Amino acid sequence: MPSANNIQRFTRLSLFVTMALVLSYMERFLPILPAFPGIKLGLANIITFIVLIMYSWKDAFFVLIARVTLLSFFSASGISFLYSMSGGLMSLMAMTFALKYLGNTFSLIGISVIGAFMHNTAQMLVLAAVLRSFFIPLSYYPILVLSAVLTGILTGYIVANLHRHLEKLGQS
Amino acid sequence: MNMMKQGDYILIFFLLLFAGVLFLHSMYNIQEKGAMVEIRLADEDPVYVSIDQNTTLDLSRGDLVNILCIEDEKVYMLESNCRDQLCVRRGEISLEGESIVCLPHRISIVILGTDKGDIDALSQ
Repeated sequence: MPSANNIQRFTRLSLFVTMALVLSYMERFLPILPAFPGIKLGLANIITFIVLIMYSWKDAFFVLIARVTLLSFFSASGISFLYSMSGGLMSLMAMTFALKYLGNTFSLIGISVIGAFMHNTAQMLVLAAVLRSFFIPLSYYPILVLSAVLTGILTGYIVANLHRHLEKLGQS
Repeated sequence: MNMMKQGDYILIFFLLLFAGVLFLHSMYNIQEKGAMVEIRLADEDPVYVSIDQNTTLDLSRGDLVNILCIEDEKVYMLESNCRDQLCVRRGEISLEGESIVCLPHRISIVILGTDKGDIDALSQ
């Protein structure tokens, strides 16, 4: 029997998945530096993170899996699916852990930076596995770490503000 | 941004330091002119080609077209029918440690020094 609670949760999750999908799709039209392939703002992570903060890691997990799977229909590339999925899962795991145990040490911005860093680290490891070489990804890794810090601060800043305003509104 | 905590600054500082050290390390490695070109196609064993010869290598497999040029001790991807064309846009490489990667076709090309021992040790 679907209860009103379940229906509410399902609707809420669908809305979050939609928002995350739109954000990751729109992001492709932002100009990227051709010298640094693979560097993204990670705007969809805003949604994953806000769901993680306001609801639970299970909800965030669902939103992440749905977003990455649905987005792979648009791009239709096995490798990019593997990247997004490994990066997303690693990042979610790290942020869940940090939010639970390191919440006193780091603000939401710091936790977002941890998530972005773990995301890019997971992608580097997948790249190493795909190419069967550690050498090439390693030479690219410093740029990935730098971009993780910058994009992590950006998305963390957005999440912190968004969270503050949503708290004022009161959760439904 | 008064919402940040002290831990955030420490974390960011150490990550930037980490990136800087890795960057300097890779800069230190990339200096000398290379001697050999290592070509890896998907899961196959790598093929080694000397960088002194002028040659055009056809790395195509089935529908996946990749044409690599070695010319005047420089290596570049002449043509590829991959989606992103990043390998072609990478341009010429000639120094030890530089690489061209065609991810959609799972091809990687690295320039090695005279002895490929140190790089093999890294990729273990």
